[in-house]
Amino acid sequence: MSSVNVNATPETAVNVRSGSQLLIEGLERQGVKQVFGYPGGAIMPFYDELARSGIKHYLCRHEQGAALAADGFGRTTRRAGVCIATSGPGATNLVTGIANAFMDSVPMVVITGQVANALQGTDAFQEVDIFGITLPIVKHSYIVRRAEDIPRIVEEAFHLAENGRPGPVLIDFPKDVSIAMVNEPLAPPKLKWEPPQADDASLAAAVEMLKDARRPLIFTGGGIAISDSIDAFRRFARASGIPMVTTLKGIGVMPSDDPVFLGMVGMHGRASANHAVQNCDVLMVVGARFDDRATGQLNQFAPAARVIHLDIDPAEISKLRRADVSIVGELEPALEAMTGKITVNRPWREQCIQWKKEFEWRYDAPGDGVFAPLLLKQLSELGGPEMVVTCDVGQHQMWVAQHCKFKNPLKHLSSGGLGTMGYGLPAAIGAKVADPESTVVCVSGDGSIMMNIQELATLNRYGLEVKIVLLDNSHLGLVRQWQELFFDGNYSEVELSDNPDFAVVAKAFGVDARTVDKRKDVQASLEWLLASEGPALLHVLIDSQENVWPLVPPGKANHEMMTAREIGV
Amino acid sequence: MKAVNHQLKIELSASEGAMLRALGLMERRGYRLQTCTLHTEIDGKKVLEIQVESDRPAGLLKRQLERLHDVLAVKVNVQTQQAAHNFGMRAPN
Repeated sequence: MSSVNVNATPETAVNVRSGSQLLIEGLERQGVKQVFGYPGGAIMPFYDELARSGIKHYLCRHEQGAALAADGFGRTTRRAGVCIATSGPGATNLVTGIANAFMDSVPMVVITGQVANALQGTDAFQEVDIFGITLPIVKHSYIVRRAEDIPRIVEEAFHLAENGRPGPVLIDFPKDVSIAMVNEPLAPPKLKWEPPQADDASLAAAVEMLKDARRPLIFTGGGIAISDSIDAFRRFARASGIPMVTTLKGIGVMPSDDPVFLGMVGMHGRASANHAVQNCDVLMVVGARFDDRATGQLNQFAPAARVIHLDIDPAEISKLRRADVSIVGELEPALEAMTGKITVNRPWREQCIQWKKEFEWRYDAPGDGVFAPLLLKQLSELGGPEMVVTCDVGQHQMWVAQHCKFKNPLKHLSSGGLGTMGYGLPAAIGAKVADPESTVVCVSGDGSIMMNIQELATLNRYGLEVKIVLLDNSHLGLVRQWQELFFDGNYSEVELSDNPDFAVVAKAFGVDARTVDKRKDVQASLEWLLASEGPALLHVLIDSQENVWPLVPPGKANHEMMTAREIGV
Repeated sequence: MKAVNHQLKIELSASEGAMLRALGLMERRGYRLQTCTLHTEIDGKKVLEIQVESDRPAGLLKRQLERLHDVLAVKVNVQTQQAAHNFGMRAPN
């Protein structure tokens, strides 16, 4: 970690403060205005101070909801989202949210209560080793042993969470430390981030490789938006004319109507993108990490290509695919240094444009039932490119990726690495708190919504204008699809016809709701949803047999896609 | 791919959990711990000398370790033989 303490001057203490007060002061020094959490025994002294502070606390109704809301806040603002829970079950309930932030490189600071130091290791009430439990899923973590260390720990925690490749940082806060009185806390260090810079030789080698290429392709990932390099990326890409494909998290780095932006690669990617990857001879990977859902069978991914890999994290270089040229450093200056030095070969560009035209999405499904891909296209057109869409995990998540249009990946909140069902609603809460003026829509499924349905109470409590589109096929649709295709139709535990009436459930939580089941009524229903005051839910009944196409079967290369046409549906 | 032994020397800060974090990372990332010695220097810094067995390269482990905040330095001491990189290490599902 390239950090230096540029100011070691001690701060003069003016009064005696408790550990909890110091932690609150630390948060305020970081500019924290909103936090998400749930109180309980060991964290009570902190909540006592929190109530006296200027920080707004959003009470979620499950700690997982608080952690995922902090994730949504962190993704939206690119500043650490803060979540708080008590020790024991409060802390363990945060784990999924912490792992979600770790896998998707989201800045987050997690504060957990802990039993007093003297009780630790005695199996005390609500004692759990959350430090140990979360070791593999945090960027860093602390157990606060002395209250005077708190200013330093808070400063470091935010510094680590937000700089370089972002991630979650845990602060485990024992109760005795939270009530300890401190005369002279140690002054927080002033930390300055010194990002690694790409070296000139690697940049020159990359430019040469792209100049020599006959079929170059750019593979974009979430790192471009995370590092605020979208503009630099667009200048580079447009000047070079090189065709582009993207991961799930890179959707929006280029407007989808750009003629050579070929869409998402991988398991449910667009055929144009998968064909381009399989045929390219140089693949320039920008802020992506060769996730298996994007690559399919790894040793058949871009089989003819030499690889140029740009990333801020050296540990991603040659992790899964050997890089012929590696550029480790900040993306923006690296892309700027390469801008204007390459022009793509025209026949290849034309081929890619042709693929994009050939594999346009079709929306002319038979019948008069609601066709989810068309509904999402309508929603996207109605909400416009500034709309924030959060999703859960499953078929609807892939349909959002395919059919909603984004001009910024930070407006598409999707649990990419961990694939957390239950992400969408709390993430929408975090996104709405982060930017109250934005239109925030959560697209969910009947399986996923039940994972964190208690957060409807949070919407109602704070009057958060989150709009929910609940696509209900009475099944765990993506698992059902796999069982149909790869398990001989042996449907095991995927049927959910005994779901509650979601419109009634929403109303019981104080969230207005309507149900729609006809295609002709979709447009009016979406208009109602977006125009309604306060939180609202649109319950959409869809065909339980609908599948996500195309699909790269397990163990297959990305060009071996199954399509609806091929299997005759 | 053939598993080989890698020897690494890892300098850790005195912070709590540093050794657990480093050792946990090794096993989780596919390197089986064979031998391990730890000593503490006068300034509190800890030095961990380990031998791991893996079909994955030492350089990848070195870079993974280096991104931990409490890892100060990593040196690959000896490689009994050059590990071939096992591309496609994860089974599709």
